[in-house]
Amino acid sequence: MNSDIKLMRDAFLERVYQEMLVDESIYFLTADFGAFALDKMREDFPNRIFHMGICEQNMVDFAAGLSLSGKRVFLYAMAPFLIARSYEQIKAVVSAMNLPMTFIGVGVGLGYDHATLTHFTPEDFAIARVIRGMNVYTPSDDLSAIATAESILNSSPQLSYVRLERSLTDRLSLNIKNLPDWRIVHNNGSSLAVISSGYMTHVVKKFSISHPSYQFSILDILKNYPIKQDLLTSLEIYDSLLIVEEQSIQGGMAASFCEELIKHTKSIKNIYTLALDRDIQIENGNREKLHEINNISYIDLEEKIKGILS
Amino acid sequence: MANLDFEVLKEKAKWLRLSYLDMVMNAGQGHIPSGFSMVEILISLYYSGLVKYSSKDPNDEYRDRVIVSKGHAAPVLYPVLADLGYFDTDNLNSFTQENSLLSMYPDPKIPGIECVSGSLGHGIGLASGITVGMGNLKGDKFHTYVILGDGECYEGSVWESAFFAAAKNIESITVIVDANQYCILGSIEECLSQGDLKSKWEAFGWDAHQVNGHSIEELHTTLKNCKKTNKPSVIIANTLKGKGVSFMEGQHLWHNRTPNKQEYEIARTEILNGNIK
Repeated sequence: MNSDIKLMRDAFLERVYQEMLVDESIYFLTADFGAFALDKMREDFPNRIFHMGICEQNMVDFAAGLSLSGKRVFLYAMAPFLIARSYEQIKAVVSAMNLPMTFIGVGVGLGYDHATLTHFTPEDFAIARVIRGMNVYTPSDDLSAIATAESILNSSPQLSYVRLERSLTDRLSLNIKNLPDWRIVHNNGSSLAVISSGYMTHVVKKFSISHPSYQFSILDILKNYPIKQDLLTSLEIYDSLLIVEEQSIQGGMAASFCEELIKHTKSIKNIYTLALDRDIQIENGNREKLHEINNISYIDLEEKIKGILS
Repeated sequence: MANLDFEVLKEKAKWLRLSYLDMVMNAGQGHIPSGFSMVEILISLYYSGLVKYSSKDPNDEYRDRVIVSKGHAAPVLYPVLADLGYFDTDNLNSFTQENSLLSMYPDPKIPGIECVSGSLGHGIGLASGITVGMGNLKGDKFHTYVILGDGECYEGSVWESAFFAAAKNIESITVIVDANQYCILGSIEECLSQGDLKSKWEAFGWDAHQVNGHSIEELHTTLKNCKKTNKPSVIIANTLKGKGVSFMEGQHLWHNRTPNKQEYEIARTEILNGNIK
């Protein structure tokens, strides 16, 4: 792995830090969650970085007040405790008043693998995307994390949720300037498109390298929601779609694609999924073990792809 | 305010109860008793010279902020806002109706309303954010008043935000707890006792006071004193849900009931003839 590669949280926060140098309206709130990049922020902007305590609900109400006074607010926490813990505040206060702000959650999916269900977020995408006005992003490496921050900072004010992988990941491309909603990270024919996001894109990418005989392409989704029409159109060239995710199939990425295809009266051709189930199996062990017992392992991926291509 | 005439303010309180009663009667829906319990609080704030309001420029940076966190009762503020010139009084007749300016729960689209509320437990956090965002910890620019219900004090988020405001020493916030003693299913004491609420706020680092919440004189004096402290302040205003109408007072079943015509006439008479102390 390239030694320049950063954790996504550091990459994202460093870009925010750069903007804080020139934009005094940016405030950054943390619910007792850190990053190397945050240490510098706390040192250089002591009046605009708030340690909110382990109080996510008050953090969101406080952020809403800051936003009402014209501030640009970033809220930062471990993913399991950010959206879910403060759901009502986001829905009934932030969304109800159309307040722009950016939620940054670290450790989505099964990122906190040894911590078991309290720290898993098999549902964070599902619950975020049904919030009125919410934009959901999942960068898949440090460069796309920077591009996501750039995109949010330069866009008109919006409500956003950025889902960050906890661990260090390889880069999926050498550069990325303007954040696309999606990108092809492996192009090998139109028989099958494997669609994934974040950590799972790396799992699928590694599989493609170790199994070159299987012909499929990989689409890395960087902006998960709302899904734009041009992405749906671009999927039309593929014979089959396989959506791979570390989210519950009930409401996850596969569900979101099916909903959009129905909404836009696109024909739903061969769509397959490899996803967690609501009744997720929990055991001590690492992420691979968790994938194995929940049927989203390498072996399951191979069986699924083999079956689709045959 | 020189020569404050509390008898005039008591008459104003009668006017507010009648106006709110008419609004709810017209709409056929609303929360009368929760509004009636906070009438004297609103009269003290808006008519005794405490709140620096700006109906000509509702977004004036230096206006005092009033956040009715117990959103279900916030429509009792609408007649006050109309009376002070925020919008035409005709709007009161269309409360909750199609295309009306005035909704069942407050919304900042309504001139004079600062925040959405209706879901409980958000007011103090919002007030802290506004205060910090505006660089107004000490109240040099404005003061922020947040009205909570005692039932609302069951919400954990109230205490998260109370903890934070005290830790950050946000002295320009005054919380008024409309302690009307009732939640939807019955009395606070019987449903889930809150014990000594004043001590709880003090334990969280607030300058806490307790007053008769139907006494405009007591409210006025205490609210004025709260602006002089160097901590966030809270006033436990002891009130009674439905105050002013005998068959609504302390009757939790009236929480969101609308009177029939006969009940309406009795209520009007009692309000007009009443002498609330």
